[in-house]
Amino acid sequence: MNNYNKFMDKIEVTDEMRKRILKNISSADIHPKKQNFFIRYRSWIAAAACLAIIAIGAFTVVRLGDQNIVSPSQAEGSQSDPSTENNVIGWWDITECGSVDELSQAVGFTVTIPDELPFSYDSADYYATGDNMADITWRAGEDRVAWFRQKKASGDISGDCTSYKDERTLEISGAEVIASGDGELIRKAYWNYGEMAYSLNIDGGITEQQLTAFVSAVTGAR
Amino acid sequence: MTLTVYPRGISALLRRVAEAVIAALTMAHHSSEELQEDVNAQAGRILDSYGNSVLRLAYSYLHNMPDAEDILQETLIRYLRSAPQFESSDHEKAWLLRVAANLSKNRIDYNRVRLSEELNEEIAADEKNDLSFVWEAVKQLPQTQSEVIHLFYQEGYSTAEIAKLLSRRESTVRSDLRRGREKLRGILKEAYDFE
Repeated sequence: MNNYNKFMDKIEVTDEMRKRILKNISSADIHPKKQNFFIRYRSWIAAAACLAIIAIGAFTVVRLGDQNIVSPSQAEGSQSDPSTENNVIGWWDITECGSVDELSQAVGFTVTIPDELPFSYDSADYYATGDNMADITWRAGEDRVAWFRQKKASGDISGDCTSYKDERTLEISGAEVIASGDGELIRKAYWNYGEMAYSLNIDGGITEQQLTAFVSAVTGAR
Repeated sequence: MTLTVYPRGISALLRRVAEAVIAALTMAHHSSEELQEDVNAQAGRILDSYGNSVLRLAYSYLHNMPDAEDILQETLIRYLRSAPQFESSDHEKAWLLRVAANLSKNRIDYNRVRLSEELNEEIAADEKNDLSFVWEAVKQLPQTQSEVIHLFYQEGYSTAEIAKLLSRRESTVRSDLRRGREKLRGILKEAYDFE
């Protein structure tokens, strides 16, 4: 046991705290949903749903039997297409790459980043996710992090659902860039250009001028 | 034959439905008290089994006991409301820690935490004082490193488990663990014992 464990072990739920929490919980509205019609009658509803599914399934089987539908692959007795066999690919299938070029090969398109970034960094991690998204993490110092993503898609691919105080739309190099942040500094930006979607998150924030340089370099390189 | 059996079947069915309705009404009559007892029993069990772990994790984020206690209470309420089912006690604990971590991060307002902690003198003044140098060192770490340090050393999770619990990549967790250790080694010097 190290000293951190010894320190932490002294932080514990006291009897007074336990009583206080249990008292607060007993007066809290813990189970409003239990009075809900759907909760109260859930077993009946579940039974009805099961019956409905069975009925629909039976109906479908009868219909298929009637129409004698056979897919071409079944008719030829072939195996299913291996490319679609495991078509549910999780985002969590992540491949770590050693460079931008390696990352481009992994995702199947050219990942474009500016020669000069609007922030200094001392390490970069390159990842290709299972759904062919390029994800680059730059780390600056101990706790400043920036993320860049690129994917053949449209919309917001940042994965950042934070509600920032300010949001503005910028026109940069022919791309409509949605930039969000708190005050002057931009912490999140996403844009679409051609068939690509891009996003940039910077925990410390960057200025509009820096973002413009970044987006211009990315889209201009294409 | 049909005339005798069929009505019996109907009457049996009706009797069963009536019994079910009476049982449901009886249950509804007693439900609020029983539910409350269930809630109290569940809350007590969770507090006894995982209360300290949740409280310590919240404290590691928020650096003060009132906020940590609030997070423990809110985590319990979330648990009781959603009544999740788990394969094992390990999953149950991981769920609670994950919720507590998310609630703690939501509550963090960096400046407010620092300010409130400065005012929260009882922590430094009580019996923990002799070990407060370790806490002071861990507090200086960025949150991404301190949460990994806490879960690794205090809760004994592997980096893979921490990655799952915090929805982060394992490589990033390993990197944060390494950086956290390096920084602690620099601060604590000969008192460093995170191995």
